[in-house]
Amino acid sequence: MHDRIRGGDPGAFRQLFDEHARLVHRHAVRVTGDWALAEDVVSLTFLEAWRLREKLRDEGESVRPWLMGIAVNVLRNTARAARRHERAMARLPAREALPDFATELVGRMADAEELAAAKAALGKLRRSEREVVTLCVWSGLSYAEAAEALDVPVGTVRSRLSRARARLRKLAERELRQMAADAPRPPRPVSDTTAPARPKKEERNR
Amino acid sequence: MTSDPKRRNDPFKGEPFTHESLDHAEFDLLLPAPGDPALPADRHTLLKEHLMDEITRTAPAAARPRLRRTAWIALPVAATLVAGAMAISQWGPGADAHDGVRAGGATAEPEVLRLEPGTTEGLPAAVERISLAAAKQPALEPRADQFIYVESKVSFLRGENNNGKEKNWITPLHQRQIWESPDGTKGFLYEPGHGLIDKKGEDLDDGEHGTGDHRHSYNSLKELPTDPDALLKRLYQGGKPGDHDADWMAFKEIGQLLQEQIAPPSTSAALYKAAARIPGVTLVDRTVDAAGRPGIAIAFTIGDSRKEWVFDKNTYDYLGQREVLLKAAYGMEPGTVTGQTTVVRRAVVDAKKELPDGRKVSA
Repeated sequence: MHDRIRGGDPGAFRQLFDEHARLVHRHAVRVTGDWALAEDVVSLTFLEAWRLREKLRDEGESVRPWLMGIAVNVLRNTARAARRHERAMARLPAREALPDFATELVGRMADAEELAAAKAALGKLRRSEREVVTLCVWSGLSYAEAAEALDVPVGTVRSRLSRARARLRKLAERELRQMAADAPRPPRPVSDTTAPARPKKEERNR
Repeated sequence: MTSDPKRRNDPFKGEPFTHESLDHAEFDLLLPAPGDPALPADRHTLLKEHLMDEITRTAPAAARPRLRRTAWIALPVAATLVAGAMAISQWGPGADAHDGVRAGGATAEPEVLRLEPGTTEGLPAAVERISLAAAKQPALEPRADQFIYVESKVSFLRGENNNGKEKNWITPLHQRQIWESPDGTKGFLYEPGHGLIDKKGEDLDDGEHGTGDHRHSYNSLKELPTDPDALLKRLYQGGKPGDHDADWMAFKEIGQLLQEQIAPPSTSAALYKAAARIPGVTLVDRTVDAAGRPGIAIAFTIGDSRKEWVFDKNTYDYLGQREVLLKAAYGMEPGTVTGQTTVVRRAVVDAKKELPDGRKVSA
């Protein structure tokens, strides 16, 4: 697989897409809270993988960490990736205004609230912490895979995770105290759903 | 279904019972459930087809024509397709509403020229006159808080590929107005006739992370050496003169600086002199600009077409640029003008969307 990817074998990229597009998409929706943007991130990630195919190294059996590393970079600066592939992205078929099935629509609306809450909570972390949390906890990469994706030592992944945990714990405690002081509401760890679910305009457009 | 921890045991997750998953348990308590977004099967198929389409387009054997065509598109559009590319696609319901050209059904009848050959004879003398004319232009100097405004008329080749069926057309000549701060970090583009970018115009401000590349900004331009040899070296960006692709990149680089920027007169003069030294650059004695004004052109042939910078026949002032097919391509005959730009006005204004007469563009 590695050789076929490096050699620019289109069949290998078809397989790569079949095996990993859903993972990249889910990751992107959870990080951005934005379905349309997440699809762009999927396309850009695979276009970048094509562009960078010769840089794929033989480390590890799976190409998943390499691909997720590319996805992380696309998420860090979607605008730059979009600029690089502007012609290709212009040819990308538009999303339908409404999903095909009503059930799916309902499912999405229920998800929207969860996504907004998750995104708001993530917003309280540093980017470096956010990246390891989303990769390891939400997308299920092992520490070693996350280390490869982010190009950092495994120890760094561990320390970022524990910093993130400490920060979230502190925030949760503070909120609990706040809630106890405010009103007798059932305490929930993190309940900030007011933060914007969409990324800032310039991040999306440029 | 909000916080069922079982659903994190999806097939993507490796090593389900290591210390790592215990680590994660606390995150499950600290973070809200991240939702379970799934890419619908039809979108999966569609995005995959798009990818396969793109990578087979850019596969090594097909690289040549793509490179050439992208090059022209990149010129009038500069750094601006981006936003359009992110936000709007050409297909599907709603796309036509964004696309005045197609919605109106008005695909302009492309202009077809009688092809005049380019020669190197007379090139040095012509470039000398063009440089002199450029050096005599009054200098416009924007303050750091001002904007460079360039208004032009443009048209360009557009293409679509729908499931392997490729269709190309030339957009009608339309107005384009662009504002850019001297450092290149802020800007605005208003070009309702473009078809791919927002009809209300688009901000070109750097995002949070910046683009890092402002080499076409006024400030960068001002720093360019005015010695033609040193300037040429810079414009080649590491490429070797005589390598056709590198020559084209250098020619294109100068073309971008000429079109939507204001340059100190001494810099423009040096840019023309540098262009004359690029292998493959020729003089076309007789051409016209988009407004029908007769001119001469400095030209470069790449692939099946020729890029021309058009200058006034009498005053040698820069008028604009055009691209002409030398061979049949895109279903169009030789001599077809596949893209053109004519500068209408350059000015320095105080704010984005402000016109030189103080009015605001209604964007």
